[in-house]
Amino acid sequence: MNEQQHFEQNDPCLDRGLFVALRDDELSTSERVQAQTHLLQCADCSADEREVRATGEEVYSLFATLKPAAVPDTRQAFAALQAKINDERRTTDLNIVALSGKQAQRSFRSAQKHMRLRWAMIAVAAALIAAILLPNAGVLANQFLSLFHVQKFQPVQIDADQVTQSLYKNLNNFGNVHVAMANTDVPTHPTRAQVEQYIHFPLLTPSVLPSGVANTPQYHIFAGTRGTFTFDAAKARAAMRQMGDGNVRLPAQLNGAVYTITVAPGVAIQYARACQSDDAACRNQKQLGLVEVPSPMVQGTNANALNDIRAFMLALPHLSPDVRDLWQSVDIQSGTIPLPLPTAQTNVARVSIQGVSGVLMVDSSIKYGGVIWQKNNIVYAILTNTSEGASILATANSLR
Amino acid sequence: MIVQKSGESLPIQTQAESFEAVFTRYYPLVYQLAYRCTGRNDEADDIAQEVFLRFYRIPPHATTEGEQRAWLCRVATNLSLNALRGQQRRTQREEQSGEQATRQGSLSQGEKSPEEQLLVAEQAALIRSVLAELPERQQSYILLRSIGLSYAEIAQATGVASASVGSLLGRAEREFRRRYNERAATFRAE
Repeated sequence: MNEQQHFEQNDPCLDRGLFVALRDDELSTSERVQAQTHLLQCADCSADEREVRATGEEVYSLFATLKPAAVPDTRQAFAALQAKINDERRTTDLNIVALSGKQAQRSFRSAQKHMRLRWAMIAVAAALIAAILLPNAGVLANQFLSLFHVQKFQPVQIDADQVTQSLYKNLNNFGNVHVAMANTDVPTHPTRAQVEQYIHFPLLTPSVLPSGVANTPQYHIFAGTRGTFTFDAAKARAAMRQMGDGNVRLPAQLNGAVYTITVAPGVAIQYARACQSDDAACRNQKQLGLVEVPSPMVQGTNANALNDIRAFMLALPHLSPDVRDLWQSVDIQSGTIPLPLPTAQTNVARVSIQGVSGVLMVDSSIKYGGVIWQKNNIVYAILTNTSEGASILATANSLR
Repeated sequence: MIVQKSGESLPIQTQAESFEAVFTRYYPLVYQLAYRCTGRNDEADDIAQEVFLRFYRIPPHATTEGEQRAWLCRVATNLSLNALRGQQRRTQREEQSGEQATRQGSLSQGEKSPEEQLLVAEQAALIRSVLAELPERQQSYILLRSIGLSYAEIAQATGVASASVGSLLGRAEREFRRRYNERAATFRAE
């Protein structure tokens, strides 16, 4: 560990935290030698150090009395867990496993509230993608040495309240975010042929739809977008001070670093309900949306820029564990980005779709479900108002 | 304190490392952590099962054994401290309504006399009660250290910088000792 800041020349006495680390054998050799040398010369620090040791002995000897008489047999415990998992498999739709068994009991109002939170989380996901993004127009593309395509999604359980309360979730507190839609005219109600002309990848459509959904696709062209995030050290310092992390070193190379995310043109296809009337029974019929977009491309100003910002964020002491998990899930090498999931609300399963791995999410309390996967550098997502995982997967697997 | 060297720098052998292998390696640690908080075998086992169920459902994005261990301990700590707070609330309600609080925990000290067993149980209840009163983060630091996590693992599990763990832990220990000694003195006076 780096406890160098404890050895300030102007301060004759050492920080007590250093004595705690010394006691726990968590200092480097040079730090230990420096601390021990100082202790030989400083009576005040020696007294502090003895007090730290005595406190530790007292506290942990108390906690040692709390240990169990015996730990249950691991094999039996594993068998019990396996039985529980098998039970869940039998009682849930497909192999979808519940994050919590309680969500079915939630009231509609609560479900609505969490629906809003879920959208907030999607916004955070978008912000995270934006976090790893874009250059201003004046910077040449060849300066962007590091890049990756989003290829995988890592579900991350988060506490929505914790994330939304943190200053660290908002990239605007660390710099300037600019998102620009492509400045291109696109047809408002395009035909399939028009869509195929516009996008630069094969358009796939499902041959299987959930019952009640009409096979009358309406296409919407997404013109593409580019988001830029420019790190601003002054803004970041202000946010860090406010969060109590003012003493954290801010790597010089981050100031002015530019990150971009580029999403090429894609398409959203809407499948409406089969019935046309306005009565309640019809309104409850299923609808389905399908999105196909090229895998977002993420770039940074130099070879290490993406790793630099990730490492910096992860080093912030007051980064909440959930936001930390989100950052930790960004894996530049494998092209992985986090898929934030509010705790205990969405049932999640990793599934195989058309031979690749995807993530299926359903919520039976508000009858919603979706699936997302990436194949051949195209991200596909289906969202529908049904929580029947089998039906969603059947649609996903029928895309041709 | 359980002293167990961290596998922090060891990469996970294969992505497909069996779930059973992870369970076998860490179940005792997770169980002990939960037991320290709850003092009940059934509750500790329930918590440990829930931790591994979550691991099974959505495996964490961990590239080293240290990260994996820190994730498991973090989930176990959150669940255990929630359970501890629930216990404390129940105990308060029972005491307010004049009921006798049932204290399990360390009553299985075979060789001890009934009086000694009662003292041990009361001390365990006091330790847990003081732990429950601490600010949440301080509860986590002490609990994680008490089961032998390294500073790097505590940092990963709680989202603070490794360099800050010594100071944060020191403050938590002092606060715990101060409150414990106050409560113990009051208890003895009664």
